[in-house]
Amino acid sequence: MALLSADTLLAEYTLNIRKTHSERLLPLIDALLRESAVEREQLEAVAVAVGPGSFTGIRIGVATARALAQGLAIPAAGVSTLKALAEAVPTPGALICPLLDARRNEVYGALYRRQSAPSLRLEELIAPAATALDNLIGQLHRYQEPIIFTGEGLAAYGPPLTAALGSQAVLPPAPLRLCRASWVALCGRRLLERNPAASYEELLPQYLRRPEAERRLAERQKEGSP
Amino acid sequence: MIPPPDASPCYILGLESSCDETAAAVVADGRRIMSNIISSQIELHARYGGVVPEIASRRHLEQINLIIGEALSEAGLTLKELHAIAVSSGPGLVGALLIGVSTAKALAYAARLPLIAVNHVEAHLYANHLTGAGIRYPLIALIASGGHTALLLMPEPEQIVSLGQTRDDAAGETFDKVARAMGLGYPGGPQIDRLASSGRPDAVDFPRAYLDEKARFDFSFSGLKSAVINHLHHLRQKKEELSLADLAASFQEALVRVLVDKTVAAAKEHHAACVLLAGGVAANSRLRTLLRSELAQALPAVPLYFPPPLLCTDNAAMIAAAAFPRYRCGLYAPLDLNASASLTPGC
Ligand SMILES: [Zn+2]
Repeated sequence: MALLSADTLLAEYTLNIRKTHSERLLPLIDALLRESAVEREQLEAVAVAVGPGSFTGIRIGVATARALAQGLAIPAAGVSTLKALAEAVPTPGALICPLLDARRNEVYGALYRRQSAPSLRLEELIAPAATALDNLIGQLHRYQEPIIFTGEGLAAYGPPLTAALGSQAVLPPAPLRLCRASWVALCGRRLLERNPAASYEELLPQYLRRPEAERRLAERQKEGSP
Repeated sequence: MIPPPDASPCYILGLESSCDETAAAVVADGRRIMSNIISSQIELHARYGGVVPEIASRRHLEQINLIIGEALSEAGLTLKELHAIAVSSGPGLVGALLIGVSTAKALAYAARLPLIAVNHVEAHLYANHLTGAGIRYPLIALIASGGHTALLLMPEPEQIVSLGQTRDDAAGETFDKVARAMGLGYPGGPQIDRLASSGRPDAVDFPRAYLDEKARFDFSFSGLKSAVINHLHHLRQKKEELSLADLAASFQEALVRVLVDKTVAAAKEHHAACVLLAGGVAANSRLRTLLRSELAQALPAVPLYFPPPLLCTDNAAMIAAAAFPRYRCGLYAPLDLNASASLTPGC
């Protein structure tokens, strides 16, 4: 998590360890505010990564953000995890592909192009989706220029990406691949500049995938229908 | 300890999301319901024949803040006027519980209110505190629902001892599974209850698991469930005439008998001053009648209390009521509170 004031990053914690978010999240928020000498009542908005990612992990984050916004009566913004990852690459003109492990032989991925100055905005070329890695590689082949990959999915998918795309694949070192809360806060602030009244009521996870039971039921119904 | 009449009441907001109901309620002094909002997901899960945890978790998150807002406005209170926020932290579906726990923690933190963690099974018992029943101690409580079956002893207020619980399927779960095998709808409890009223309870002699002496207050219903399902297959194979009403009545009798016998035995052994029934299965008409008559025969001076149907099934008023004694003792939960799928009562 991170605390942003105007353009200054006041504080940020990144813990990439296996302990449940449920136990960690609120004590860390409390510690971050204490260290920064900021009272919770001084918070003007809350931003949260809404996924894609682990369903349970995302829900803990979104539930916490929604309740903080409700309790403090402040606006709330939901930020795509993939977009926040892409924000960390500033190079004008760069193609950026954030990747997360979606299990079951799939990745959560998207493709963005960083526009040139002065806008420097991220243009979405491939919308966030859960897809087979080979499928995504097929789509990426068409852009015959270097692609900067990011995201924790690279730990598992780095080698097959390099094998398929050769020098087209640019893999940054591990510390640069994490979804940092400061980028979520920054993206959140931009969203809130456009929509200052954004409410926790509309804040929901971006799952990109239906529940398993729902998919199986739909399949069975398709088989059953003539 | 009843507060003096001029003292302002203690308002606790309760949150509940352990299974398929998203609920929020405000209760004053652990006894008076100011609001009790429940958003049931039964229809969402009906086509799957049971609760789908991922679907339940998604819906809880969509609903919970809205439900909290409604509970506060119906009670005519703001967050700042509350004294504490209570949440059921287990047992239940862990993903579903986490929505309530994460929300309660963040809301309590934002509003600078104490957070109270409540055991969901124990909370069922406190539904009886909301009805003005003349509760006396020691008491015996039978909590039976789709997720749990437990026999509890309260030697005195705020002290809970677990005497026994189910070793396999919960009572309500057994009703649901048998109803599904019989081709009845979900949830199965009310369907079987209705069907059984026109059947003969002695038509089929199904097994009743009383277990050995050491485990005499524990329950086991998986053997009964298998016996009913086998009996059903057997009849269908031989294309014999099948009375669903007789089957429902015989099954229900076997299950309810065990619940009643163990509850009455526990009441005798612990010299109970009253007996409480709670949980979704407490709405079963045969359980209510049989427990009442058996208790009246064995222990005529011991009254039986059970909550109205709305407070039998999962709700948040019981969570807020159960939190009240903990609030008075200052038993607050830390910010790293986690949800626990298998929290046992009396800990
Ligand atoms: Zn329950």
